[in-house]
Amino acid sequence: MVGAGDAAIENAIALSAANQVTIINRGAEFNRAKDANEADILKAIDTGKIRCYYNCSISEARLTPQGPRLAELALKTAEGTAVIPVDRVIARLGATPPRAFVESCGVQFPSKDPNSVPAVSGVYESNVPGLYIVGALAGFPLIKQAMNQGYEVIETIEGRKIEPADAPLLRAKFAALPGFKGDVDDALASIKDRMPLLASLTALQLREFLLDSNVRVPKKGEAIFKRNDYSDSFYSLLGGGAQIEIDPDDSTKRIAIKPGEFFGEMSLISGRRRTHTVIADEACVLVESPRRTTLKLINSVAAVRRIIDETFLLRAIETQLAKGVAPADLKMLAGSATVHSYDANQVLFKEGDPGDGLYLIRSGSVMVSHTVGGREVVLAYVPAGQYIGEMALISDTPRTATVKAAVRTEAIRLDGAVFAKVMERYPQLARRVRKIHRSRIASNVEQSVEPERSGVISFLMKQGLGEATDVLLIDESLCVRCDQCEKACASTHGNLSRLDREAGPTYDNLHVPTSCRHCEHPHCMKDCPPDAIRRSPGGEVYISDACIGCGNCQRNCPYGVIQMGVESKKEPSLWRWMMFGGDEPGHGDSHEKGIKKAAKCDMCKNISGGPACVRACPTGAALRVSPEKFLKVSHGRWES
Amino acid sequence: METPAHVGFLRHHRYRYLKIGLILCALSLLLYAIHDPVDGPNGGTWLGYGLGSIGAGLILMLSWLGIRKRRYRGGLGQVKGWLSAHVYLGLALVIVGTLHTGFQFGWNVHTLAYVLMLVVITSGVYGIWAYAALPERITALRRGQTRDAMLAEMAELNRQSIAVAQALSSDIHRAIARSIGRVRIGGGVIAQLFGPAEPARQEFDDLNRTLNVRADTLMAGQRAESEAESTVMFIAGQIVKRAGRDEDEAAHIRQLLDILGRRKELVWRINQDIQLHGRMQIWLYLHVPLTLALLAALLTHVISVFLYW
Amino acid sequence: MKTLIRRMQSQKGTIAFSNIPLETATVNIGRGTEQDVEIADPRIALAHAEITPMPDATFRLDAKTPSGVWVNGTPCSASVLQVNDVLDFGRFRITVMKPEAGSDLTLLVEERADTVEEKPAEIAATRLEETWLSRRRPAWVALIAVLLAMLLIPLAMRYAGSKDPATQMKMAELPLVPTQAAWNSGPLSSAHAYFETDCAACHVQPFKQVRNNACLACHDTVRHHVPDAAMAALPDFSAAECTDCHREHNGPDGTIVRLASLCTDCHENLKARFPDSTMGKVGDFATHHPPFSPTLTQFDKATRTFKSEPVVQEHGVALHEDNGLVFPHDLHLDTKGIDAPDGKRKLECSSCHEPDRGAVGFRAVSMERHCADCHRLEFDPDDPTRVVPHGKPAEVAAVLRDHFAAKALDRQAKPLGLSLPAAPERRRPGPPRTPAEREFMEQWSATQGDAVVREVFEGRLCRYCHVVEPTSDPKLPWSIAPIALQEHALSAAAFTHAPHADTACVDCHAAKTSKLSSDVLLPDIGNCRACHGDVGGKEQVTSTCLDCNSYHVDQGVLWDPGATRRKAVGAQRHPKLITPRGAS
Repeated sequence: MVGAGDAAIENAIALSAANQVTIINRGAEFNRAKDANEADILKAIDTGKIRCYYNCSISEARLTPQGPRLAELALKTAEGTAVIPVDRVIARLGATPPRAFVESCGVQFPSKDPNSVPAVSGVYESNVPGLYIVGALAGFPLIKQAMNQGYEVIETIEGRKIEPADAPLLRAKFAALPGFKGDVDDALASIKDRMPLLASLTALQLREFLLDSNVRVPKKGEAIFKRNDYSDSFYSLLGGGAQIEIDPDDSTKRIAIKPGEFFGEMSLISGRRRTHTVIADEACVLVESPRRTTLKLINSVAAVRRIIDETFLLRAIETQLAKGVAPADLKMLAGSATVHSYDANQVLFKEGDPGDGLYLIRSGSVMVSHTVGGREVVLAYVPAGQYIGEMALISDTPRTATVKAAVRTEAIRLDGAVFAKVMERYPQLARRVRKIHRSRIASNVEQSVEPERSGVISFLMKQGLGEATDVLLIDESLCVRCDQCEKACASTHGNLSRLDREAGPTYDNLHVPTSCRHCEHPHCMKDCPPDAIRRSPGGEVYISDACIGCGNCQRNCPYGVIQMGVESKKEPSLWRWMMFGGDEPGHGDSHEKGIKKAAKCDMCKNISGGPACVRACPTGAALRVSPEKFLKVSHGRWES
Repeated sequence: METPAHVGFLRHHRYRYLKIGLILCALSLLLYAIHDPVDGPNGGTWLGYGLGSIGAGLILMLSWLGIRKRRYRGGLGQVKGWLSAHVYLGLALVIVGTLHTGFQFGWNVHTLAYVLMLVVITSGVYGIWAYAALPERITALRRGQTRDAMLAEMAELNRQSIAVAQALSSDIHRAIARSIGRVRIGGGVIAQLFGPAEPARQEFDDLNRTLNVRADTLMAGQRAESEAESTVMFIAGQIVKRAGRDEDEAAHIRQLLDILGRRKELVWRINQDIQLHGRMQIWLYLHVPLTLALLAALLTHVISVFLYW
Repeated sequence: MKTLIRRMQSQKGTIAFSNIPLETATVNIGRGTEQDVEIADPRIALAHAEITPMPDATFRLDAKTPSGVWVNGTPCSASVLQVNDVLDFGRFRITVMKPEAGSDLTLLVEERADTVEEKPAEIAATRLEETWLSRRRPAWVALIAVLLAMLLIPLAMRYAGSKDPATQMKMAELPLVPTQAAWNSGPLSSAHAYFETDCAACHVQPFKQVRNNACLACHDTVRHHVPDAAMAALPDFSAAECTDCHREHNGPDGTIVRLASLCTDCHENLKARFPDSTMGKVGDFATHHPPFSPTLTQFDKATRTFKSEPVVQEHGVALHEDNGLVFPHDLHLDTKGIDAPDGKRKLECSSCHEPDRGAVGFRAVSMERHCADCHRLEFDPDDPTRVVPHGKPAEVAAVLRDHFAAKALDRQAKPLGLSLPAAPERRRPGPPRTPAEREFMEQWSATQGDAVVREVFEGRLCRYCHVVEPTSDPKLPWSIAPIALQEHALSAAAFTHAPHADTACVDCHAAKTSKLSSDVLLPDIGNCRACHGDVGGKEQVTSTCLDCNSYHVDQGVLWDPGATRRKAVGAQRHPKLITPRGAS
């Protein structure tokens, strides 16, 4: 089955009852499909009913009379190629409207783009009077939409004014808009006017988008979000103003956002914490849209994607590198930018290569390393939102270190020559870049001088702690293997321990048990159909009750920290166990029956006092560290 | 440099509880030295009552560790702090309790409580040593594997050794199978603490020797034959074939010896691991029941002393 | 290095291949999802092995776990890869293929679903928790055993059984039954040991201390410390408890605490509490004890009686007391001996002073027993066996006159300067004497009698030891002054001579130099201090207050007269000892 839309999914699921079905998906997700379909197909893939090849395209289909099946399908996958023997190939590639026929009816299409849909009015009337276009032909694929719209059209034809089904919902949302008088269409038009980003949406796409969003009217001076917050929604500024604080140490250095602009897009792309604080100005009116909705929009409307990408680029350059640079120069810089994708462990540039440009990490992260005496010494770790390779902008010396992608990474490369020209014109920019470069060299030298420290860091990084925000470590010279940490975890979490103390690697008495690292870029989060995995404001990655037990997160986690199980509602009584034996709190088997849901460490965010494992360790062997504290730990300043 | 990231329970809070324990001991000794009651020091003087109350309070608090460490939600402080207090104040109890008795002992429940207290504390001292010395040894021995992984690896080695032995001869195959059956891991209390008896040690050594000898013979044979080869060219084909077979056999034997050697080392490591774990926990089987007996004796002591005041 | 990973996936019989080209420095293999070759077998470590290209264009496989990697059926930690090498990772098998075009190394990865997962052989217990050892069961056993044996059963025996002490004590003798004996904090004194198992005898009420009425139930004749009831009612005395000084359960040596401080706490500074007190301050014996105040008798001439009063024995001051006798010790104790009727006789102290029973003091000196041997009361040289009685003067005089009257009657009268025919008188029996004879005899006996009486009283006999005083009676103009033999000079102290038997009498009593019988020969405190010192001294006999003094001294007032005297009950408790045998 080739295709990832609703039709492909429904066909695949139906056929899999009596056939072996393989579904070929051009992308990495099924986000064009309805939620229910997406959940179903993911479940089928999970249980093995249907096999799925993601990120593939078909290179050839050929008949194989001698082969095991009638034909074989050759694919180009993300990693290489694959060959699948098949009996049938069914393509559900979506439909394009029969443009020629529709045009011959006199209906005008707004552009030559084969994907474009005919322009219709708010009551679905085309430019041909009396000809109404609803449903898929108008760009609304869902049956419910076609039915609702059809009903509305008939009512209109009959002369009765009808309100669209979503009008009351939108009215409620727009109530917060200043100056809103109750006319939804009016408000929509005004929003479209004010937001160039949304200008390319059809009225109905806009309604869909706004249905999922919220209107916010913060007071002047209120922080819309703060730096290092873990929120991930997208904000469109309708009116008033907002300020981005670009210097965390100096809150007076700000960039103003004007109405019609948007912000918060960094978290969309890279899934990391907010890089800057944004403060509301006078009369600030915002539309806050959740991440999924915005992603969906980006994927459906090419113009939106383009605008967001461009803005991201400009902003990244402006905030990271070129503050105070005139917009025209910025545009020139942005024009020289190219986007590159790297798989995990792919090298961006090697030590000794000529310096070609500066790399701004858009999503993912990279490791900077050096070869010292034949060993790879990790010098630094650069996450998304920061840049690397600035040396090329300053001098002509070849690269002094190798930079490798730690996980799947997207980087924007700014051409060195263009940047150098801009730096000539802005001396303070050059100074800033030099200053950062010097501090980087200093810390690199420090790192290479102490390779043992690097050994522990290297070990910790390989355990994925480079992307951890908070991880449990155990000092095995103190650990008496009493398993109290596991019992504490289980006892406070429905008798299902999220910690496996014994499993996990050890390096020089430093043991990393199997437990969630609360990664900066959680692998588990990216594939959760009910969106049950969230990051709490304190930074903990937790799985909410919405979990349906599909197990994607368990598979996606490279550290194996997620397990599926059923939580008990009742906690066994401690005194009864002490006196008479039986179920030990935190140790017994769960007698509950039910669907197994995903469970992993949530840093005991609901329990006062902090992580139960650390509090319960009698000898003090368990400790939770965040990456800043690694250095202390790895300095050999273990004291037991 | 800044303060270290974490410290163990003995150093907790810069030895806070060690300091408190030492002060308590010093104060008790001082007061005992200067206090001179009419009929000699005993538990019924004001100092005796004071030390007795402190001692009883300490015993109750120390016993409470068993509950506190299993209260995973809430609870005062960290368990590490409780354990640190438990260790140091428990040691101070030796002084406080002994001074409370005024060195008056007899065959009664009062001395029983005192003796039980001393035995509990002594077993605790062993526990301190065990907790300080054994964890590192366990880690060094484990080499990063879990116990289940070691056992699975042993099963794997067993399987492989059978597979290789099958390619050799049925005698060797039987011997290997017997040897597998005679491997002893863990066992009862004594076996866990001191290592299980090895019932087939002799047989295993014999098997090893036999295989070594055979391998050597084959190697020698090969060399001898390669010399003879040049002179007896007409049976060269036969010799070459046999050499091939012998080569195989020698290789298999070497492989088998390798596997057996690894298995022996692994079994030894597993049993060492079991021993260390056992020695780290054995004292608790004395410490905990006697604490309960101590609590009963303490209760009886307090009641009887004031019943017949 | 360029590597081609070919994964073989079979799905219900169909085998699909996927080819993944890699260009990496090394190829790592393991369970982690970031590994180049992902092996989803739980037995495999997250980072299990790594293939590194060698400078000579070969590839080396290094194991990252101590258990090694199974290469061609043998576990090894490092191996140089050859084509057709088979690497086993749990149920996954990687075969090294001939390198395909465009790659340096080609690996075929297949998941074998047909290998049976072998369960490890039966393993014996590997943890202490899996053996018979348990913490819970022994804890319960120990807890219940101690509670039963030490608390519950003794409580039941004590309170649920018969309250009769005899029964209680009998039950305590049963073997192996736990009783209150477990609560006994120390052996009882030897006097109380016979009812050691009857705790309620003294510990009358639970959770209350032992109070006076428990002791007084048997010891009801204990005397007080002060002489009158008014003083005894003062809180200093009425609030005093037996247990202040008497402590039991300290062994067989008795209950009394012999600490000087128990006495000196008050007596060191009595005036603070009793300003009218005349007693001296007592801090210790060696330096802070007042001099002795023996009770001495003085003769009151007016009333002609002896009065006893304590007199302070200042150091160096000789004391005298009236006793009405004349007796020089120095004469009698002369080392050369003293004249006796049968020659010289050497006298010792013990010749006259016999210790009384118990050797506390001495029996009274008796004239008949101790003096009469030498001091004979004979008066007639012709009749040396005739003695006067040691009695009243009238009696003595009468005896004397009778003697001479009888003598005269027996015509024994020798003329004493009188002329008288010394004719032999032959008379017929019966005829009375002649008046001349009669007169002569009367005269003779009267004269003789008077003379001898006078001599006895004033001359030879009585005056030796007694003070003879004239009376107004012409017939008997002599009387003997009243005498008072010393009784006990230090009445408040309990001095016993027996422990001092090895000391010579004269070491303490200056008898050898005493000329007068009125000398008080009682040694002063300095004499005692020569040998007796306080507790803590090394050169003297350690003595405490209780060695000489006692608390319950007063003869007038009973200790605690107001308390309920439970003699009856006390007697019932242990009748065998309280009531004498035979009585009801």
